[in-house]
Amino acid sequence: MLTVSQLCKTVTTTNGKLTILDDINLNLKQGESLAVSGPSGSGKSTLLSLLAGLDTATSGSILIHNTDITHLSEDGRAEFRARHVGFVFQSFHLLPTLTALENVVLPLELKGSTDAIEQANKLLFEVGLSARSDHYPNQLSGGEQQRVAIARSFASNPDLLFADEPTGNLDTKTGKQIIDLLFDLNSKQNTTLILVTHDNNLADRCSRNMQLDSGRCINQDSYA
Amino acid sequence: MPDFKIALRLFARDWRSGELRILMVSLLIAISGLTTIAVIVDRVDRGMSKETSQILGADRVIRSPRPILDATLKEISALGLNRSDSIRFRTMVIAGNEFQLASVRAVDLSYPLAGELRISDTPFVQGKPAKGAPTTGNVWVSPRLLQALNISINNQVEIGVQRFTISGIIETEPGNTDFISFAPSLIMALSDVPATKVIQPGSRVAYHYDFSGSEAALLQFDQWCKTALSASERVIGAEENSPTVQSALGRARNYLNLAGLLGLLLGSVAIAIVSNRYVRRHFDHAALLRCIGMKQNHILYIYSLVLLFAALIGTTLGIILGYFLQQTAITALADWLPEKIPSANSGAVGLGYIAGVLVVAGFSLPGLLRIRRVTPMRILRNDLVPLPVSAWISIFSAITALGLVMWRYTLDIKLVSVVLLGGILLTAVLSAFTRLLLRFLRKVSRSVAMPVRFGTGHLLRHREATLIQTAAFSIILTLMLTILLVRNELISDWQKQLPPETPNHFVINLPPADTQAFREFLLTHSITPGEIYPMVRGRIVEINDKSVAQVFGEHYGQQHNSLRRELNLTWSTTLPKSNQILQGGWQTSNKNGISIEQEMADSLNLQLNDTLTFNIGSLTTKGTITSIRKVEWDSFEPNFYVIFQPGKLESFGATYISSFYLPLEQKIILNGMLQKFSSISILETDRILQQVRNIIRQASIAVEFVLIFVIAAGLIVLLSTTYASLDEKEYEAGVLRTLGARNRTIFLCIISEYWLLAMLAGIMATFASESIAFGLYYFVFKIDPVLHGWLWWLSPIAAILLIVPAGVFGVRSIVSTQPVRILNKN
Ligand SMILES: Nc1ncnc2c1ncn2[C@@H]1O[C@H](COP(=O)(O)OP(=O)(O)OP(=O)(O)O)[C@@H](O)[C@H]1O
Ligand SMILES: [Mg+2]
Repeated sequence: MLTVSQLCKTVTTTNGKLTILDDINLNLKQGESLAVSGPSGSGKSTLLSLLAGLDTATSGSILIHNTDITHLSEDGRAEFRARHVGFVFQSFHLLPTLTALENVVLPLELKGSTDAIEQANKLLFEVGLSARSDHYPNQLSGGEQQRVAIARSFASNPDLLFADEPTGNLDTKTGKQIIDLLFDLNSKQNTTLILVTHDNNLADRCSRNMQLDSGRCINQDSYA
Repeated sequence: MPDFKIALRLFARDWRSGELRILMVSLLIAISGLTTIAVIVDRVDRGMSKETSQILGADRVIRSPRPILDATLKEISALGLNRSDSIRFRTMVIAGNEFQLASVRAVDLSYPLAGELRISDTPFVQGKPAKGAPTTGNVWVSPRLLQALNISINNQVEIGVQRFTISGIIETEPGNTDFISFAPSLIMALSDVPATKVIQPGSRVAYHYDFSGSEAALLQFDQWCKTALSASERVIGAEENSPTVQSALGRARNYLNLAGLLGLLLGSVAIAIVSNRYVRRHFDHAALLRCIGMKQNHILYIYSLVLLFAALIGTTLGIILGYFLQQTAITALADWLPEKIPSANSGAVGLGYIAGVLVVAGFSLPGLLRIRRVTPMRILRNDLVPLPVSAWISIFSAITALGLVMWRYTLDIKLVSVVLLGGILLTAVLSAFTRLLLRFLRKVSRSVAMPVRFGTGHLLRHREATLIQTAAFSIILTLMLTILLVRNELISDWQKQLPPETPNHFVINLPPADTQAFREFLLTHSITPGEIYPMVRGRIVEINDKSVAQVFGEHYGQQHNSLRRELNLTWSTTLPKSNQILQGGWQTSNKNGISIEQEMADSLNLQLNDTLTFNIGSLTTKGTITSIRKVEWDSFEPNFYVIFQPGKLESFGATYISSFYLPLEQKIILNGMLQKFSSISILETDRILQQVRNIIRQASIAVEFVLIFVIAAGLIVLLSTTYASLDEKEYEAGVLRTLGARNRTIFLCIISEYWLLAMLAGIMATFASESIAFGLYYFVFKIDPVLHGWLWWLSPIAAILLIVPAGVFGVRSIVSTQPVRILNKN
């Protein structure tokens, strides 16, 4: 369902051209999970942003459900995201002005769901935060905020879920809860999961693995 | 001083990263606005003062019953002023068998120091400019004197024991604004006076010393006068000489001052918002400094220094820009402003620095106190926002700063108090009102489309932030509306004051028998006759049966004009048109009743039911005060300090006075009028009226210009205020975009939010500006307050038209920015 070929990203800086990603190729099936790892600055976050259509590639193509999202307009990609993509950030990115429930409702409303509140409540229940639905992000702990973010990312019932170091800001125990939650929802909804992690244990739980170094893919295996 | 270095480095870094730029821009607006307005006001004001000198014929005049000592005159000469001496007296002028009491001005060769003296060959015909005195043996006379003596140009007249030839007819003579001495005027050379032998010991003579010169010299002169003049010597300034100009200039000055203040307030709103934003964005940095061991007071000190640097640089730039702007404005308006605009004073520089530093200090103190409280824990828990300081401290520090700046600027405690007290009161009422409106909004917002609900919800969830933003927007709008309203009233009031057909000629000494014929004469020449009033001249000698000297002491003349000279008394069954009863009532039943003018009543401590005794000729008469009136002195119609009821003065042999409007091209009929009514005297006020109109027009232009400037400043501040809330908007839009929202949706959210804000602010601003204008009219401008219906629908619409595009413009970059960039920024 996801086919990436010859993906490149370069940016122009004051010191000339900087290649962040260089010739990335990837093929994922529905329901698979991919762990992207590599040293800091190797281009992991950039790759995820490109795949989610949050940023534009310099060259190459990204085919999702046979649509090349590199050819879509800004609004086209937004609409595409609304239908197919969920994203979990290392630093949560919840809207501080909305309650937990309202944050989860947001993508549902954007899609025009009629029972948005009901669905959002269900998702909050699944991440174990029913009791906190009226709280604002700054009243929640980091782990709780991340769980809200996960509930939000699943709200639109995405085919593809991206998670950029979702546990990077959390302690080990909470981190494990979050990961369990991700895989749980991944298997329940048959979502394709792509996550960035430095944690080898976590990488092992994924069906696929990919290692980046200086923007190049140095190791890509496909067992299981 | 390691802290100083840290602050300097922090400043340099924030400067490079643009953190401080928006603060500087706000300062630039506030200070350049203040400087521009302050300098323009000062220059135009001084220019208009110069203009008024043309009416007086000099910048200052000393009038004395005796020649001033040479030593004293030397002292004045040392100040570097030009001087022109003249003496004025009344004497009989004889031509054959005719004689007439004339008001003589014997002038030297420097006359006139200001204004234009015009001399012609034929009465009431445009003459040529002249300078100095007539040559020895010649005199110039007014048309009235010619007519009274039944002679014409080149005839001879006798003054005292000397004969003179009439070599010219006076068309205009600067400095003759004395409506009271109704004798026709004659100008002769000062050097010819001794030969006439008219002036004997004991003669009533007024010695006039006219002065003109640079402002600095005049200032020194005014200072000098305070101590050096004797009791009998009086200084006359250009303005005191003309009540209309004085009141018009006074109002213009008040208005321009007000505009300067409002400009400053506008800038302050921006500075308040922006300095707060700066402080908020530095919580993390402060937490880091605390983490590495910096004490709370060090943090306070460092950030205060950074803001002080910003204030100083922003202010300096603002002052430079302000000077540039005012120079441009003055050049652009040169054709409409007084001919000689004095150059700028350096006073505005000091004002700019004081204002810049005080406003930044006053408005960022709450934020600084807050940043002082940042806990090092914030490094770990980003949500540990330091508690804001008590609202009272914020309000107190802001008001103190504003009050000080405003006071330094206007030196007018009353204006400052009205603005500040009104502001506080209004803010309290408005914030209560906004809370109510928000509560109402919460109810209705349940059933609307997602973007609208999102926008509304955003406002509702952030009640405090919404209140502050609404307040900021409403203050900005209020200031703009206020300045607009006051300008409208001021200009229309001026237009009302001197409508196109304002009487420009007075007729006096009209015999009672001729009043009807006079009326008809005017009508046959298609001239609208004015009211005709009887007039008797009398002096106040007793108040409540005590002589004025007993009541006010030896120098009772200083108490009020009305005690210094004979007053024009009249009687009337009806209240004159432009008068207004303030106390008591217009009683026609009380035959002893008199109505007196308000300022006179105040200066002489007169109450209703007090009695006044008048000396008329050799007789006396008494009246009891039954009403106190307000008189429009600047209406150019016959005005009276004292009006009797009919029945009391008729026996004193009154003559009649009237005024009418005569267009320039019809002036020639005055000759026919004088022939037909030989006893009358005509006073021409058209020249003065023209001058007054000129000055008022210039004041209006200054007012218009300043209005435009304030509105422009308001718009910029509006933009920068929206800009300050941009970070949050951008971030929200970024998150919405990752969740798949289209641009349209995002814009709808933003539009609906700003739309609501604008509505709220528009309604508030209408309410506020109506109240402020009401207060200003009542307390400062003394215009009758009015309500403005149009404002109530126009202002919310204008608010929406201004604020919504400003908001959308502010966040337009979101459309073209990749969402990942926006998120990475935070
Ligand atoms: N807009 C940009 N301009 C310049 N350089 C950029 C830009 N975006 C990313 N980079 C650079 O590209 C490289 C890859 O960045 P990226 O954030 O993808 O790394 P990462 O693998 O996610 O690292 P980390 O593990 O630290 O999160 C980095 O060196 C980064 O500085
Ligand atoms: Mg990264």
